[in-house]
Amino acid sequence: MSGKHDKRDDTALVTACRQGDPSAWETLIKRYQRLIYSIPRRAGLGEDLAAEVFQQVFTKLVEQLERIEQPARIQAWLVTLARRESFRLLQREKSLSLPDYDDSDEDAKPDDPPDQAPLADEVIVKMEQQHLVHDAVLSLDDRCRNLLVMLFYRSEPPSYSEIAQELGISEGSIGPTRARCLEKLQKLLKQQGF
Amino acid sequence: MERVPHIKFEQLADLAEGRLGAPEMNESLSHVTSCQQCSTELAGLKQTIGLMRSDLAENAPAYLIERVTNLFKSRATKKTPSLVQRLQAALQFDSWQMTPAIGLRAGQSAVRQMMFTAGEHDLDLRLRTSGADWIISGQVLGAGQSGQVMLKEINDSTETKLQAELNDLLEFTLPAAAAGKYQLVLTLDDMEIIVPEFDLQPK
Repeated sequence: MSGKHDKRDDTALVTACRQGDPSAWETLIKRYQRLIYSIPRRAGLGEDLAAEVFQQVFTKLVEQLERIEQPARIQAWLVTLARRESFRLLQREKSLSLPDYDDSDEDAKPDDPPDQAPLADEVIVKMEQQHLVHDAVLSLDDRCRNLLVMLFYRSEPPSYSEIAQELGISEGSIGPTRARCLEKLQKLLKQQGF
Repeated sequence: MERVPHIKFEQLADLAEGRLGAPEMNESLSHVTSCQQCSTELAGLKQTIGLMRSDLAENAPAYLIERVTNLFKSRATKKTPSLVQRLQAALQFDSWQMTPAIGLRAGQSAVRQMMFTAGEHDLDLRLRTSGADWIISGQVLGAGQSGQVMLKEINDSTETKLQAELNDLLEFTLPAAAAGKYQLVLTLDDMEIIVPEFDLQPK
Protein backbone atom coordinates (compact mmCIF):
# COMPACT_ATOMS: atom_id res chain seq x y z
CA MET A 1 0.00 0.00 0.00
CA SER A 2 1.51 3.34 -1.02
CA GLY A 3 1.83 6.40 1.18
CA LYS A 4 0.76 9.65 -0.39
CA HIS A 5 -2.95 10.16 0.07
CA ASP A 6 -4.94 12.74 -1.90
CA LYS A 7 -7.38 14.19 0.59
CA ARG A 8 -9.70 15.89 -1.92
CA ASP A 9 -13.28 14.70 -1.58
CA ASP A 10 -15.19 13.26 -4.53
CA THR A 11 -16.92 16.53 -5.40
CA ALA A 12 -13.58 18.33 -5.56
CA LEU A 13 -12.13 15.56 -7.70
CA VAL A 14 -14.97 15.55 -10.22
CA THR A 15 -14.83 19.35 -10.43
CA ALA A 16 -11.08 19.20 -11.00
CA CYS A 17 -11.53 16.53 -13.68
CA ARG A 18 -14.01 18.77 -15.47
CA GLN A 19 -11.35 21.47 -15.44
CA GLY A 20 -8.92 19.09 -17.09
CA ASP A 21 -6.82 18.11 -14.07
CA PRO A 22 -5.30 14.67 -14.82
CA SER A 23 -4.13 14.19 -11.21
CA ALA A 24 -7.77 14.33 -10.09
CA TRP A 25 -8.64 11.60 -12.58
CA GLU A 26 -5.73 9.49 -11.36
CA THR A 27 -6.89 9.93 -7.77
CA LEU A 28 -10.43 8.88 -8.65
CA ILE A 29 -9.11 5.72 -10.27
CA LYS A 30 -6.76 5.04 -7.37
CA ARG A 31 -9.59 5.58 -4.90
CA TYR A 32 -12.09 3.26 -6.59
CA GLN A 33 -10.07 0.77 -8.63
CA ARG A 34 -10.10 -1.89 -5.95
CA LEU A 35 -13.84 -1.65 -5.33
CA ILE A 36 -14.84 -1.50 -8.99
CA TYR A 37 -12.56 -4.37 -10.02
CA SER A 38 -13.75 -6.52 -7.13
CA ILE A 39 -17.45 -6.23 -7.98
CA PRO A 40 -17.26 -8.31 -11.19
CA ARG A 41 -14.77 -10.65 -9.55
CA ARG A 42 -17.12 -11.13 -6.62
CA ALA A 43 -19.88 -11.82 -9.14
CA GLY A 44 -17.82 -14.75 -10.42
CA LEU A 45 -16.38 -13.21 -13.57
CA GLY A 46 -12.84 -14.14 -14.59
CA GLU A 47 -10.03 -11.62 -14.93
CA ASP A 48 -10.66 -10.85 -18.60
CA LEU A 49 -14.35 -10.14 -18.13
CA ALA A 50 -13.69 -8.20 -14.92
CA ALA A 51 -11.25 -6.11 -16.96
CA GLU A 52 -14.02 -5.50 -19.49
CA VAL A 53 -16.39 -4.31 -16.76
CA PHE A 54 -13.68 -2.13 -15.23
CA GLN A 55 -12.88 -0.50 -18.53
CA GLN A 56 -16.53 0.02 -19.39
CA VAL A 57 -17.21 1.74 -16.05
CA PHE A 58 -14.35 4.21 -16.34
CA THR A 59 -15.01 4.84 -20.01
CA LYS A 60 -18.58 5.77 -19.13
CA LEU A 61 -17.32 7.95 -16.30
CA VAL A 62 -14.98 9.92 -18.55
CA GLU A 63 -17.79 10.30 -21.11
CA GLN A 64 -20.33 11.44 -18.52
CA LEU A 65 -18.11 13.67 -16.33
CA GLU A 66 -19.88 16.87 -17.32
CA ARG A 67 -23.33 15.34 -16.85
CA ILE A 68 -22.98 13.77 -13.41
CA GLU A 69 -25.56 15.58 -11.29
CA GLN A 70 -24.32 14.60 -7.83
CA PRO A 71 -20.52 14.38 -7.79
CA ALA A 72 -20.62 13.65 -4.06
CA ARG A 73 -22.37 10.36 -4.91
CA ILE A 74 -19.87 9.25 -7.53
CA GLN A 75 -19.18 6.05 -5.63
CA ALA A 76 -22.81 4.98 -5.85
CA TRP A 77 -22.79 5.84 -9.57
CA LEU A 78 -19.68 3.73 -10.18
CA VAL A 79 -20.95 0.80 -8.10
CA THR A 80 -24.34 0.77 -9.82
CA LEU A 81 -22.72 0.74 -13.23
CA ALA A 82 -20.26 -1.99 -12.24
CA ARG A 83 -23.14 -4.15 -10.97
CA ARG A 84 -25.16 -3.61 -14.09
CA GLU A 85 -22.24 -4.42 -16.37
CA SER A 86 -21.37 -7.51 -14.33
CA PHE A 87 -24.93 -8.82 -14.62
CA ARG A 88 -24.91 -8.15 -18.34
CA LEU A 89 -21.75 -10.18 -18.82
CA LEU A 90 -22.95 -12.93 -16.51
CA GLN A 91 -26.11 -13.18 -18.61
CA ARG A 92 -24.05 -13.26 -21.78
CA GLU A 93 -21.74 -15.96 -20.45
CA LYS A 94 -24.72 -17.98 -19.25
CA SER A 95 -26.39 -17.87 -22.65
CA LEU A 96 -23.12 -18.86 -24.37
CA SER A 97 -22.54 -21.85 -22.11
CA LEU A 98 -26.06 -23.31 -22.11
CA PRO A 99 -26.21 -26.87 -23.42
CA ASP A 100 -28.62 -27.58 -26.26
CA TYR A 101 -32.03 -26.91 -24.85
CA ASP A 102 -34.34 -29.92 -24.69
CA ASP A 103 -37.87 -28.61 -24.51
CA SER A 104 -39.16 -31.97 -23.40
CA ASP A 105 -37.30 -31.47 -20.14
CA GLU A 106 -39.76 -29.73 -17.85
CA ASP A 107 -37.07 -28.83 -15.33
CA ALA A 108 -34.81 -27.01 -17.82
CA LYS A 109 -35.20 -23.24 -17.54
CA PRO A 110 -32.90 -21.56 -20.05
CA ASP A 111 -34.44 -18.17 -19.45
CA ASP A 112 -33.67 -18.01 -15.72
CA PRO A 113 -31.60 -14.92 -14.99
CA PRO A 114 -28.14 -15.53 -13.55
CA ASP A 115 -28.03 -16.04 -9.82
CA GLN A 116 -28.03 -12.55 -8.31
CA ALA A 117 -26.87 -13.69 -4.88
CA PRO A 118 -23.17 -12.85 -5.48
CA LEU A 119 -24.12 -9.19 -5.96
CA ALA A 120 -27.10 -8.95 -3.65
CA ASP A 121 -27.59 -5.62 -1.92
CA GLU A 122 -26.15 -6.84 1.37
CA VAL A 123 -23.03 -8.06 -0.41
CA ILE A 124 -22.52 -4.68 -2.07
CA VAL A 125 -23.16 -2.83 1.18
CA LYS A 126 -20.47 -4.91 2.87
CA MET A 127 -18.03 -4.35 0.01
CA GLU A 128 -18.60 -0.61 0.27
CA GLN A 129 -18.04 -0.70 4.03
CA GLN A 130 -14.82 -2.63 3.46
CA HIS A 131 -13.81 -0.07 0.89
CA LEU A 132 -14.38 2.73 3.41
CA VAL A 133 -12.33 0.99 6.09
CA HIS A 134 -9.54 0.15 3.62
CA ASP A 135 -9.43 3.74 2.41
CA ALA A 136 -9.21 4.96 6.01
CA VAL A 137 -6.36 2.53 6.71
CA LEU A 138 -4.53 3.87 3.66
CA SER A 139 -4.79 7.40 5.01
CA LEU A 140 -3.10 6.57 8.34
CA ASP A 141 0.59 7.22 8.98
CA ASP A 142 3.06 4.68 7.63
CA ARG A 143 3.55 2.78 10.87
CA CYS A 144 -0.16 2.32 11.59
CA ARG A 145 -0.97 1.53 8.00
CA ASN A 146 1.73 -1.13 7.73
CA LEU A 147 0.86 -2.65 11.11
CA LEU A 148 -2.88 -2.86 10.47
CA VAL A 149 -2.33 -4.34 7.02
CA MET A 150 -0.07 -7.04 8.46
CA LEU A 151 -2.44 -7.82 11.32
CA PHE A 152 -5.77 -7.75 9.53
CA TYR A 153 -5.39 -7.96 5.77
CA ARG A 154 -3.14 -10.95 5.34
CA SER A 155 -4.77 -14.35 4.91
CA GLU A 156 -2.31 -15.73 7.49
CA PRO A 157 -1.44 -12.99 9.97
CA PRO A 158 2.20 -13.15 10.97
CA SER A 159 3.27 -13.64 14.58
CA TYR A 160 4.19 -10.64 16.72
CA SER A 161 7.86 -11.57 16.42
CA GLU A 162 7.62 -11.62 12.61
CA ILE A 163 5.84 -8.27 12.67
CA ALA A 164 8.48 -6.82 14.99
CA GLN A 165 11.21 -7.95 12.62
CA GLU A 166 9.49 -6.66 9.49
CA LEU A 167 8.58 -3.26 10.96
CA GLY A 168 11.74 -2.80 12.96
CA ILE A 169 9.96 -2.35 16.31
CA SER A 170 10.10 -4.24 19.60
CA GLU A 171 7.73 -7.13 20.05
CA GLY A 172 6.48 -5.70 23.31
CA SER A 173 5.36 -2.50 21.64
CA ILE A 174 3.13 -4.19 19.09
CA GLY A 175 0.12 -4.59 21.39
CA PRO A 176 0.00 -0.94 22.51
CA THR A 177 0.82 0.31 18.99
CA ARG A 178 -1.92 -1.85 17.55
CA ALA A 179 -4.39 -0.38 20.05
CA ARG A 180 -3.35 3.21 19.27
CA CYS A 181 -3.65 2.56 15.53
CA LEU A 182 -7.07 0.94 15.91
CA GLU A 183 -8.17 3.90 18.01
CA LYS A 184 -7.00 6.32 15.29
CA LEU A 185 -8.80 4.25 12.69
CA GLN A 186 -12.04 4.22 14.67
CA LYS A 187 -11.89 8.01 15.15
CA LEU A 188 -11.33 8.50 11.44
CA LEU A 189 -14.25 6.22 10.55
CA LYS A 190 -16.49 8.01 13.02
CA GLN A 191 -15.63 11.36 11.37
CA GLN A 192 -16.69 9.84 8.05
CA GLY A 193 -20.02 8.81 9.49
CA PHE A 194 -19.29 5.11 9.85
CA MET B 1 -22.17 4.99 44.02
CA GLU B 2 -18.61 4.40 42.97
CA ARG B 3 -18.14 4.98 39.24
CA VAL B 4 -16.55 1.98 37.50
CA PRO B 5 -13.80 3.18 35.15
CA HIS B 6 -14.13 2.31 31.48
CA ILE B 7 -12.02 -0.45 29.98
CA LYS B 8 -8.79 0.81 28.43
CA PHE B 9 -8.87 0.80 24.65
CA GLU B 10 -6.01 -1.71 24.43
CA GLN B 11 -7.97 -4.15 26.57
CA LEU B 12 -11.08 -3.58 24.45
CA ALA B 13 -9.02 -4.34 21.36
CA ASP B 14 -7.75 -7.55 22.99
CA LEU B 15 -11.32 -8.45 23.91
CA ALA B 16 -12.53 -7.80 20.36
CA GLU B 17 -9.79 -10.03 18.98
CA GLY B 18 -10.23 -12.78 21.54
CA ARG B 19 -6.74 -12.28 22.95
CA LEU B 20 -7.69 -12.15 26.63
CA GLY B 21 -7.37 -15.08 29.02
CA ALA B 22 -10.60 -16.38 30.56
CA PRO B 23 -10.51 -14.42 33.85
CA GLU B 24 -9.75 -11.07 32.16
CA MET B 25 -12.28 -11.78 29.42
CA ASN B 26 -15.04 -12.51 31.92
CA GLU B 27 -14.23 -9.41 33.94
CA SER B 28 -14.22 -7.25 30.80
CA LEU B 29 -17.47 -8.72 29.49
CA SER B 30 -19.07 -8.19 32.84
CA HIS B 31 -18.25 -4.47 32.61
CA VAL B 32 -19.29 -4.21 28.96
CA THR B 33 -22.77 -5.59 29.63
CA SER B 34 -23.42 -2.71 32.02
CA CYS B 35 -21.56 0.10 30.28
CA GLN B 36 -23.16 1.63 27.18
CA GLN B 37 -20.00 3.43 26.09
CA CYS B 38 -17.73 0.39 26.30
CA SER B 39 -20.40 -1.80 24.72
CA THR B 40 -20.70 0.55 21.75
CA GLU B 41 -16.94 0.88 21.46
CA LEU B 42 -16.52 -2.91 21.52
CA ALA B 43 -19.21 -3.46 18.88
CA GLY B 44 -17.57 -0.86 16.64
CA LEU B 45 -14.15 -2.45 17.02
CA LYS B 46 -15.48 -5.92 16.27
CA GLN B 47 -17.23 -4.64 13.18
CA THR B 48 -14.12 -2.85 11.87
CA ILE B 49 -11.85 -5.80 12.57
CA GLY B 50 -14.38 -8.17 11.01
CA LEU B 51 -14.59 -6.06 7.86
CA MET B 52 -10.81 -5.92 7.54
CA ARG B 53 -10.35 -9.64 8.09
CA SER B 54 -13.06 -10.62 5.58
CA ASP B 55 -11.94 -8.15 2.91
CA LEU B 56 -11.22 -10.19 -0.23
CA ALA B 57 -11.13 -7.25 -2.63
CA GLU B 58 -8.45 -7.31 -5.32
CA ASN B 59 -6.48 -4.51 -6.87
CA ALA B 60 -7.01 -4.09 -10.59
CA PRO B 61 -3.96 -5.15 -12.63
CA ALA B 62 -1.46 -2.38 -13.38
CA TYR B 63 -2.00 -2.54 -17.15
CA LEU B 64 -5.72 -1.95 -16.67
CA ILE B 65 -5.18 1.03 -14.39
CA GLU B 66 -2.80 2.49 -16.94
CA ARG B 67 -5.34 1.97 -19.69
CA VAL B 68 -8.20 3.75 -17.91
CA THR B 69 -5.82 6.51 -16.77
CA ASN B 70 -5.08 7.16 -20.44
CA LEU B 71 -8.82 7.55 -21.17
CA PHE B 72 -8.57 11.02 -19.64
CA LYS B 73 -5.85 12.06 -22.09
CA SER B 74 -8.19 11.09 -24.97
CA ARG B 75 -10.81 13.36 -23.44
CA ALA B 76 -8.28 16.17 -23.03
CA THR B 77 -7.43 16.08 -26.74
CA LYS B 78 -11.15 16.10 -27.53
CA LYS B 79 -11.06 12.70 -29.15
CA THR B 80 -14.09 10.58 -28.44
CA PRO B 81 -12.95 7.96 -25.96
CA SER B 82 -13.74 4.56 -27.32
CA LEU B 83 -13.93 1.11 -25.94
CA VAL B 84 -11.16 -1.23 -26.92
CA GLN B 85 -12.56 -3.96 -29.17
CA ARG B 86 -11.24 -7.31 -28.03
CA LEU B 87 -10.94 -10.17 -30.46
CA GLN B 88 -9.80 -13.69 -29.83
CA ALA B 89 -7.43 -14.90 -32.55
CA ALA B 90 -8.19 -18.19 -34.29
CA LEU B 91 -5.37 -20.47 -35.42
CA GLN B 92 -5.33 -20.96 -39.17
CA PHE B 93 -1.97 -22.60 -39.71
CA ASP B 94 0.69 -24.25 -37.59
CA SER B 95 3.81 -25.59 -39.29
CA TRP B 96 4.23 -28.18 -36.55
CA GLN B 97 0.93 -29.74 -37.51
CA MET B 98 1.93 -30.17 -41.15
CA THR B 99 2.91 -33.56 -42.60
CA PRO B 100 6.63 -33.23 -43.42
CA ALA B 101 7.50 -33.24 -47.11
CA ILE B 102 9.17 -36.36 -48.46
CA GLY B 103 12.88 -36.24 -47.68
CA LEU B 104 12.49 -34.03 -44.61
CA ARG B 105 12.43 -35.44 -41.09
CA ALA B 106 9.72 -34.23 -38.77
CA GLY B 107 10.87 -31.44 -36.49
CA GLN B 108 13.75 -30.51 -38.78
CA SER B 109 12.74 -26.86 -39.13
CA ALA B 110 14.13 -24.66 -36.38
CA VAL B 111 11.32 -22.14 -36.83
CA ARG B 112 7.71 -22.80 -36.02
CA GLN B 113 5.31 -20.67 -38.01
CA MET B 114 1.79 -20.00 -36.80
CA MET B 115 -0.84 -17.91 -38.53
CA PHE B 116 -3.89 -16.52 -36.73
CA THR B 117 -6.92 -14.60 -37.87
CA ALA B 118 -8.85 -12.05 -35.83
CA GLY B 119 -11.54 -10.07 -37.63
CA GLU B 120 -9.89 -8.26 -40.50
CA HIS B 121 -6.38 -8.85 -39.23
CA ASP B 122 -3.96 -11.70 -39.64
CA LEU B 123 -1.12 -12.37 -37.24
CA ASP B 124 1.95 -14.14 -38.54
CA LEU B 125 4.05 -15.55 -35.71
CA ARG B 126 7.47 -17.13 -35.95
CA LEU B 127 8.84 -19.00 -32.96
CA ARG B 128 12.43 -20.16 -32.78
CA THR B 129 14.59 -21.50 -30.03
CA SER B 130 17.60 -19.69 -28.66
CA GLY B 131 19.31 -22.08 -26.26
CA ALA B 132 16.67 -23.03 -23.72
CA ASP B 133 14.58 -19.93 -24.50
CA TRP B 134 12.21 -18.94 -27.29
CA ILE B 135 12.27 -15.88 -29.51
CA ILE B 136 8.88 -14.85 -30.84
CA SER B 137 8.71 -12.47 -33.75
CA GLY B 138 5.89 -11.62 -36.06
CA GLN B 139 3.91 -9.24 -38.10
CA VAL B 140 0.35 -7.97 -38.09
CA LEU B 141 -1.30 -7.92 -41.49
CA GLY B 142 -4.19 -5.50 -41.89
CA ALA B 143 -5.09 -1.93 -41.03
CA GLY B 144 -3.37 -0.22 -38.14
CA GLN B 145 -0.73 2.38 -37.49
CA SER B 146 0.92 1.46 -34.25
CA GLY B 147 0.66 -0.78 -31.30
CA GLN B 148 2.40 -3.09 -28.94
CA VAL B 149 2.50 -6.76 -28.15
CA MET B 150 2.65 -8.33 -24.71
CA LEU B 151 3.44 -11.91 -23.77
CA LYS B 152 2.05 -13.04 -20.42
CA GLU B 153 2.85 -16.35 -18.82
CA ILE B 154 -0.31 -18.17 -17.80
CA ASN B 155 -0.57 -19.09 -14.12
CA ASP B 156 2.39 -16.92 -13.24
CA SER B 157 1.60 -15.22 -9.94
CA THR B 158 4.41 -12.71 -10.43
CA GLU B 159 2.61 -11.39 -13.54
CA THR B 160 5.84 -11.16 -15.52
CA LYS B 161 5.27 -9.79 -18.98
CA LEU B 162 7.45 -9.35 -22.02
CA GLN B 163 6.63 -6.43 -24.28
CA ALA B 164 7.61 -5.04 -27.64
CA GLU B 165 6.46 -2.13 -29.79
CA LEU B 166 5.36 -2.65 -33.38
CA ASN B 167 7.50 -0.91 -35.98
CA ASP B 168 6.12 0.99 -38.96
CA LEU B 169 5.60 -2.32 -40.80
CA LEU B 170 3.72 -3.65 -37.78
CA GLU B 171 6.53 -6.13 -37.12
CA PHE B 172 7.86 -7.04 -33.71
CA THR B 173 10.37 -9.22 -31.89
CA LEU B 174 9.81 -10.03 -28.24
CA PRO B 175 12.58 -10.56 -25.68
CA ALA B 176 13.54 -14.18 -25.07
CA ALA B 177 10.94 -16.21 -23.21
CA ALA B 178 11.48 -19.36 -21.17
CA ALA B 179 9.50 -22.48 -22.08
CA GLY B 180 5.96 -22.43 -20.77
CA LYS B 181 2.33 -21.62 -21.54
CA TYR B 182 1.60 -18.07 -22.61
CA GLN B 183 -1.07 -15.68 -23.68
CA LEU B 184 -0.22 -13.10 -26.35
CA VAL B 185 -2.02 -9.76 -26.35
CA LEU B 186 -1.64 -7.47 -29.32
CA THR B 187 -2.88 -3.90 -28.84
CA LEU B 188 -3.54 -1.89 -31.99
CA ASP B 189 -5.16 1.56 -31.90
CA ASP B 190 -8.62 0.70 -30.50
CA MET B 191 -8.37 -3.02 -30.85
CA GLU B 192 -6.93 -5.84 -28.83
CA ILE B 193 -6.17 -9.23 -30.35
CA ILE B 194 -5.65 -12.09 -27.97
CA VAL B 195 -4.02 -15.42 -28.65
CA PRO B 196 -5.42 -17.11 -25.55
CA GLU B 197 -2.95 -19.90 -25.03
CA PHE B 198 0.04 -21.36 -26.75
CA ASP B 199 2.74 -23.62 -25.55
CA LEU B 200 6.43 -22.91 -25.92
CA GLN B 201 7.91 -26.37 -25.63
CA PRO B 202 10.30 -28.38 -27.80
CA LYS B 203 8.47 -30.63 -30.26
